[in-house]
Amino acid sequence: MNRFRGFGVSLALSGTVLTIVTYLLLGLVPLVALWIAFTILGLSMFLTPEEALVKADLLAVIEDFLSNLSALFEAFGASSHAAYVCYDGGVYVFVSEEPLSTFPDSPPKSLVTAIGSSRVFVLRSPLSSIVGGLEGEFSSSSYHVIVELLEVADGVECSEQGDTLSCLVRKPYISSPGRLERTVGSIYGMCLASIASKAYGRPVTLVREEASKRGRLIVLRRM
Amino acid sequence: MHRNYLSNTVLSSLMLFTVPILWSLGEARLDVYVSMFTLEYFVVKALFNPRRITRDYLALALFTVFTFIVSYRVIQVLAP
Repeated sequence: MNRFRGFGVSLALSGTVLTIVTYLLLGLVPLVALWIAFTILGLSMFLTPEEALVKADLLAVIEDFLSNLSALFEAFGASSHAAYVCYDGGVYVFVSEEPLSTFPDSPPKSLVTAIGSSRVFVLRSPLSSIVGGLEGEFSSSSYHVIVELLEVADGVECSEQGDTLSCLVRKPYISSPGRLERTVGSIYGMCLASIASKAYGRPVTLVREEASKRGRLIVLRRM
Repeated sequence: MHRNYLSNTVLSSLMLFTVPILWSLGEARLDVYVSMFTLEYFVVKALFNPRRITRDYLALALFTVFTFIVSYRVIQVLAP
């Protein structure tokens, strides 16, 4: 238990005792209400989980690791397009130089495969385990994963126009290496594309990502 | 500031302003104070959606108390 939660417990306990004592001995209702407020605040502080920023640090480590993979893909000349496909076993990322129109019925077992005439790198999405247990529509799932579960942004707003999905990530906490954005996408792009492929049951490509004052705009396209 | 801590800060500000304001208006009914605290808690919860270590039993408890208060007042009106 950290100091914040410890202080909350102290506040709740002292508020409870003071409430009882004040009510029985003094009978001053506003003062009793004040101690009740302290009790509620103390409990609220106690129920607040401990510092969650460590998640942002871990995700930064993952981003840097994926950035190295992106460099590898660029060296092999297969880094321009990333498509996210959901299978029963998880979400897989197909990284290729040219856009793909078809995908295998089951995830390839090797890192490098050929689809048509294109050389394709196949990765399991880092969000595969999280996304696998998700139910519900794309917009609410995105908010749940990015804001509530991973706590890497303040909000997510999604809109659809035909097969194009536009998502605005408000106040992202993590900055993304440019190299990663050009290949598999930032951690936000990976999250949203993985969730979209699961939610819609169709392959999803990451069209582009833009940083702006309002947040991070991520455009996806269902295939 | 992270939303978890911001929500606690806003909640404390709201509650600690509510007591002197109602006190200055001469309010002496405890259920009015508790109802206001409950409303403020749920407003903050809706605005910031702070994380909790378990299910939000505090919200459940406050809602239960609020329900009793409202029911009691309604019964007082219907059957004085």
